[in-house]
Amino acid sequence: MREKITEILQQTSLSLGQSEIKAVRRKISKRTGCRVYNDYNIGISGAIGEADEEELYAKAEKNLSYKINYPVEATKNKKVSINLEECKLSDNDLFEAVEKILRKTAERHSNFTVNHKANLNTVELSIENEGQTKLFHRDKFAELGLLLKKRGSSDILDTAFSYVGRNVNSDKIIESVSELITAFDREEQLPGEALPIILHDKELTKIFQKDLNGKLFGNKASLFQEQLGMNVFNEKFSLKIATDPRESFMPLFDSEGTIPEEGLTWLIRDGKIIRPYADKRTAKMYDYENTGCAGGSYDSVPTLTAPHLEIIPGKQSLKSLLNGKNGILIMIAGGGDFTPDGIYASPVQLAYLTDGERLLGRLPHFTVKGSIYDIFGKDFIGLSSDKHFTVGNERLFVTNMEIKAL
Amino acid sequence: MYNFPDNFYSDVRIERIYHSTIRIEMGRLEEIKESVDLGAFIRLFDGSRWYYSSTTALDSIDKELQNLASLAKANKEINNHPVVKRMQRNICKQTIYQENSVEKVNLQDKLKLLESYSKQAINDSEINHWNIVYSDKNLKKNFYSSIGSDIEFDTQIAGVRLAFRFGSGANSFTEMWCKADVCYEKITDLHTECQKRIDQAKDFYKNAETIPGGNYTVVLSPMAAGIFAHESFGHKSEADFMVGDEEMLKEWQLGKRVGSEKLSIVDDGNAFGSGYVPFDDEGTKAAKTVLIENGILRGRLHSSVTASSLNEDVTGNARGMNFEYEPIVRMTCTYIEAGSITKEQLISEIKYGILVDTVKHGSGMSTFTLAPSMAYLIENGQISKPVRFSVITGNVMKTLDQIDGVSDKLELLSFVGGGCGKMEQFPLSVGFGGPFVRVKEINVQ
Repeated sequence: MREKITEILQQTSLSLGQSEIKAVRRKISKRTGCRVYNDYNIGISGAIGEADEEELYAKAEKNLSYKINYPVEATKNKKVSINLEECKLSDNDLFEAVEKILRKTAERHSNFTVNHKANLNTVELSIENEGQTKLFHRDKFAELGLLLKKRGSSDILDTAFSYVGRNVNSDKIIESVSELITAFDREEQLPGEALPIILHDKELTKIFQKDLNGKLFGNKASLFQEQLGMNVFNEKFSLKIATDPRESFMPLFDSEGTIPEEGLTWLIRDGKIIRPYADKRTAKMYDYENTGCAGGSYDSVPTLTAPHLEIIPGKQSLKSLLNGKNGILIMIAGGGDFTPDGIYASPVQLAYLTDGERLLGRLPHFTVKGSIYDIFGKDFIGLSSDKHFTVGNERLFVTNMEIKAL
Repeated sequence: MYNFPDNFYSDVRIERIYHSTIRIEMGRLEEIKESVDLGAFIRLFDGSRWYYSSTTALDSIDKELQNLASLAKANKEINNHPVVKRMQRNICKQTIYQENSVEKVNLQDKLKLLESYSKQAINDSEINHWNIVYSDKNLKKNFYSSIGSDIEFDTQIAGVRLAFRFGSGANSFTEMWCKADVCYEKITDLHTECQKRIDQAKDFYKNAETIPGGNYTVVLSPMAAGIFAHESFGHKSEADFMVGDEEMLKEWQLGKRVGSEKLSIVDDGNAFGSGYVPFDDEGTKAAKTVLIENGILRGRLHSSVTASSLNEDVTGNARGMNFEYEPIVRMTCTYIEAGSITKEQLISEIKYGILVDTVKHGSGMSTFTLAPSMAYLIENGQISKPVRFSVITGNVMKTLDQIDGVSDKLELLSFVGGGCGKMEQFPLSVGFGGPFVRVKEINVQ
């Protein structure tokens, strides 16, 4: 059976430097991948740019001679078309919005410069095969990465604003950037008492991306090997594979064309480890459920790839989770890592003190440490029900961890 | 040659990239592929703004140039613009990897080579999970500019990367062995070295003890020293973050002491390996740029734009990840220069400290981190036992000043399967390395 993967990216990218638009880049890129399935083997090929499909299929058939075992069926009779192109922004709209953000920020905060990128992306991904499968995803969204650098600072960036969305509200962004800068300039001392730690939900879930991998489980090499089916974490802690294209800006289907049932996307539920994540081959090899986690580039054999994960939010806002206290919001913690037994430690290069609604000031550098079993166990307070535009338009997760001044 | 529009500066970079990848996991062939990508990146400058386009339709380059010109404002004085004045006009052909191109090696032979390395993992029953990857790339670039540059050159890298994991649950350990070189033949007979790393990792897995956090004297291996040089200081030497900041320039004034007199750091695109870049993506010839000499700040890394802004010379560090990206200031091969004492002497002078041998990753702003994979305790001048901890961290400038010993042998390292990330452009091939470097005090967590 033949299968074709097509990826198209149309992008306008503005390079920002010293609070000015320094460059404009336009590109349209097309990538085509061809797969041939035969006798439970797979052959692959691919090309960038306009490609002759027959040539690509011929290469994929030749690639079959290496006998890459693929002991599962290609997805058949599945038809899904999702078009999220509700974004009406034109290149000129993006240009004007970004110029306004840069101008207003420079007026308000002449001691800071804005650098990096603003992109407007239109993405298309399709998988079509001779088994009557036709999957299509199209989206259009803006990405802003604004690195805010204080004049005279020895760092490449001092604080940052990031946004991905299907519209650009320049006034709201200006206010958020202003809040980040104003709070950055207000230096606070490390609190004498232990305060809740607030993080982006993706900061620490990377250990689950690594150790809930079906292949690691299947080979008895996971940190959580002996804990499948056990209540290991706080009963308020649940973790799912993020599948909503509106939230994730990713297609609903994986690179094998799998769209997992909702029930299969739960990896941890009410503190209990339910299942590792898997793609078709991993599921078959180790007798797991296929959770739709095949990834890889357009011209690759589909392979098990760590999915985007989301902690299930509770009903309380960040303010409510803090329960009348202030919290320590970790914005940049680069270079941290886990020990094999699940102890996380990291220096924190940027953290703000917050009351759950406003940023109150910037804290000095410190280190943070905690066991994964405590962070998501006895110390887990919850994931906020509300999203916070100023810190990436994300829900924030609250826990307790040990901190020490650097 | 192309029809470069009048009254603008413009250039065209064409890349032909051959690359192949083979992956075996737990004894199963997972992937084997090779392909050739061809594309161009086109730039046009009107004196106030740059306009970029990327295309795979090479017959449309003249049209793309005209399209970009239609967005810009004509500037009759463009060739006198300080940015354009810094552009080098080079006419050169420097292709050295066409005769021995990895493209000429049969894919089946590459597979056999990878299988020979994979046997070392297959035959070790204590390894619970492993995967091994062969990858290579032969890149030929042509660069043409409106000021007359006409350059053709190539680069090449081939390598093997084995990742393996012992144990499970809380008692597990993951390590990696990676070797890359500019010629295929140079990576075909490294099985002993690979086996040595597996044996070392097994010993570490079985015997490593946790040590308490605190301040230790630390010796960095060439790998750790290279990552430290790249992450902690190399990125700070990229001049784009200094442009337009007078206070910053005072802080980073050339001639200022920024580290111990034992320390010298350079960046050199002429060094063969994964950081070999004989010409950058503005057509500037590679240079050996001394960043720190005996603790004194001597230079920084530039594109034509940053060199013009800071009134300094271009250094050959304007690099784009591939033909879809514009050049920005990037490192090439960054390393700490060798000192005068032996590694043994360096360690023998330590009463109680740590040797960081291999590293999982590193990062650096004003505070840097290195996450060690294998590290060893040093007691009374001898390496005594393997030890585990999460990260070492410290203030970059203080740490540069704390370097009190540098060994006499420089080791430059090359890699496949990863690279340097900056902004949206990841991964870019770079090289790094150094000798063994001793730091009086670093915080261990």
